[in-house]
Amino acid sequence: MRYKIYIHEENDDVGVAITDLGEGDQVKAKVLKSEDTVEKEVGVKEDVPLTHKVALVDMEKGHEVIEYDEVIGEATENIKAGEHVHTHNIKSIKV
Amino acid sequence: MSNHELKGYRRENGDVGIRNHVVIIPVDDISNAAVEGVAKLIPQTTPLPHPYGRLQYGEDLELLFRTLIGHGKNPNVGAAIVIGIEPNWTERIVEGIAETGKPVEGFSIETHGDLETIKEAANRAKDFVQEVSETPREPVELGEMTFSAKCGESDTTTGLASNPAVGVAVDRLVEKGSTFIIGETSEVAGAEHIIAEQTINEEVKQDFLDMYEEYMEEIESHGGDIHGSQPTQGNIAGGLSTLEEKALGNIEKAGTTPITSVLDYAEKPKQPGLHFMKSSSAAAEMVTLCAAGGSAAHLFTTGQGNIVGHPLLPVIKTTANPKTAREMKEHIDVDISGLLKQTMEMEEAGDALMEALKRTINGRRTAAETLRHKEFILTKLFPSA
Repeated sequence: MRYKIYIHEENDDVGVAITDLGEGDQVKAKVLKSEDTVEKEVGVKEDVPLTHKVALVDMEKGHEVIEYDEVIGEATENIKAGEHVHTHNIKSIKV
Repeated sequence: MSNHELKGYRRENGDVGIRNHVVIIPVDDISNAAVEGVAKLIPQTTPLPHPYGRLQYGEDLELLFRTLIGHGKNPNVGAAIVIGIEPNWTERIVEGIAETGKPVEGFSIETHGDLETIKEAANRAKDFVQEVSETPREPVELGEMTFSAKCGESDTTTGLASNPAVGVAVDRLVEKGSTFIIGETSEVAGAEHIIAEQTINEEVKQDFLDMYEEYMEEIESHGGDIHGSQPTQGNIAGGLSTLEEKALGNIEKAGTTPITSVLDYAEKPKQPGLHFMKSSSAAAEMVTLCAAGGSAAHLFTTGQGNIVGHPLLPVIKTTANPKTAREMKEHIDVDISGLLKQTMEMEEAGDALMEALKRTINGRRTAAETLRHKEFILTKLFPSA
């Protein structure tokens, strides 16, 4: 498999693991919704299971996390690129 | 993609179905025994037992009638038997179904008892089964039919791959003139602004926003916390972290086609195109409402593996999750996990769904039909009197 992470839109802060990822993996990510092929390199910092999200950029606590080019929630702690992003470090901001 | 000639059942009112059920509808809970008695004697009938129909009132009663009549009217039904405890409500449902021109007859149990009712209704059901067995399958077009879609046990693969593939199919079907129903009001929460922008005009946009706000207020007024239930435990296991993220994935299946109307629960669309039905996000309830709205086939995407089916409405299940495609193989009609394994493009996934839809129209049994998933679940709005 050429890519191990899919990204919805070019400006997204997170991508989705499309296979199980392991700590230390250096993998290629593909942006799905772009005219040209856009690739990114991601250094995976911890194990991320298939279908779970990986941070593509460093995010500070309170950062509005972008996926689908939309806000999906905010960071509840500082998150480094390559870390697993899930309910332990982001939460909904809709009330 | 192969070039199928499609064959279906063209009903007297112009609706086109893909199955030819003789349905036996109980008006109320206490008529289930008679309904099941008839179905036991005449096994080629389709009984729809359910737990309600007594002392309902107001909007809740109207929804019961709309749902039961809608099932009798569904184009996958060739003839209908209605059994109720008393004649008034029974007759109301019979008259509703009779508008389609299809054979329908009602039986009420009071003054007769179960056994005599079963005998009379079974005799009629036997005639109906023989009668509909001669209904010809005629050449039909996709543009004459109504379809629907929903996702269940979603994960991130739903938003990445299977819902966009359904979106491709929705766009193609609507372009051909089909009618298409989507919904799941509570599961667009967090992306409702995007659905609002997809409506065809200001009026429909306002209809959608009014319906959405009313629905969400209703949930809160009963102490429901949408954040407490969404995303579900299954969703979280699948990597979905927030309500917003789930909703953004959910709405991918709306494709790019404008939403032309907002439907009430179980309401039949008045014109072709894409429609948003007010509905729960619980799979069996939503699929049942789509059947009542006249859907002939349902596209169902799943991430972690929802297995829902319906007695009348074939549910075509697809997943893009390679693990689910492997572990829950018997439930999956269309494996599009190639999208994640990078062996399939999005348009090819759309082709695969269209191919499965056409084969289902032409008579291929879906996994859910074969595995006897017959969830018929009424939406109840409030307690009975």
